[in-house]
Amino acid sequence: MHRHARRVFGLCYRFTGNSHEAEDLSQEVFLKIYRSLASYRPAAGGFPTWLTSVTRNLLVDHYRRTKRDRLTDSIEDEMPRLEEKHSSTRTPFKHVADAELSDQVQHALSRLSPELREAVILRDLQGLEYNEIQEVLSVPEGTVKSRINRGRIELARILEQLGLRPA
Amino acid sequence: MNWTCAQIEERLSDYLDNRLDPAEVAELNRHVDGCAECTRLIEQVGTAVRQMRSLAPVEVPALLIHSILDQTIGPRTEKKGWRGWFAWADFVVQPKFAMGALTCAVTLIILGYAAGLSPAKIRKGDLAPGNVFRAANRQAHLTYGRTLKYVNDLKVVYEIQSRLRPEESPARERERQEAPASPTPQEKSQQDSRPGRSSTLDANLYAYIATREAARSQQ
Repeated sequence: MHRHARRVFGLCYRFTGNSHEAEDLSQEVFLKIYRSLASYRPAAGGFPTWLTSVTRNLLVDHYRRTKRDRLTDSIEDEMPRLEEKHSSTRTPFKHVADAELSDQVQHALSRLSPELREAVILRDLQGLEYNEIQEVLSVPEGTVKSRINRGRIELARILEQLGLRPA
Repeated sequence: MNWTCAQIEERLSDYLDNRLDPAEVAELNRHVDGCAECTRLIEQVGTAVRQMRSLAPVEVPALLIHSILDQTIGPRTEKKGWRGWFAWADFVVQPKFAMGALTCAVTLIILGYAAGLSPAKIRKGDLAPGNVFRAANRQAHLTYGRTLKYVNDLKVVYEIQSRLRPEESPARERERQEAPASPTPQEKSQQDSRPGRSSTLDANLYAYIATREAARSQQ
């Protein structure tokens, strides 16, 4: 249970970038899973893949629902806050550095389009194989490869803009 | 075929995920060796991927699992009435407790057989608490008596042995010289046929009795 909760919450958190939203969405995912357990077919893929697929569909729905709210937030409001955080939290301690890196990656992810973001999260943060991602996203293999590649290149450029240099 | 920068960018993730053939890797390296832009791109994207993979998994909020369970299988209710009194004994119905109890029962049966108890010989009357107590008491006294007798016997044997040893030593020296160097295996097995007592002790006892008999007949 804890392992599945971690997977679902991690995916929701990395996709939305908000802990409260991720918590609500995780609950929603498990409620949906609980209600549709009868429709689960083990032959169609492992349980984790099915769980990820349900989570991803819910995230896409959530993204569409909240699109209007997000459009009202200007990106200029966001930037000074992050820059300030970036300069004030630079300390030699590893865990602080990790937290800082995590925040920067999170911010970079939030600037990717949802298609590229989900592909990169599934591949590099959730560690899924290409065929599993193909199953979760229900798109051809070529599209998966292309989205992962474009997502990574875009993310690397954003990270560099944020001032993150190669370690 | 020489790869272009666009091709390198297109196959970048295949390269980072080790999904290229050795020939394709060689082509990529040949281009990258002479192209600073592609070298920088590979380094930049490779670092980003490494950094993402190095991130620790996101910690799940402490109450999330509880709220998920509450929403799916429902809130866990407190047991009321007499069930509440026995709530502490829930572990008794666990499979591991049943396994432990079974193991203990088997051990006790084996020990019972070893102590001479047999379920076939037990009658209904033997299971009454008074009878069980009397049987246990009797068994304990019998065991104590047997142990005491055994210790006393040992004492007598050792006393006889210690008294005989200095007197019999010259005679035994003589016997040893007269006797063959080593007994045959058959003789040896015959001598050792009585368990619990050594053949030396038997010989000493017989010699002691013979001496006593001889002294008595002379008197």
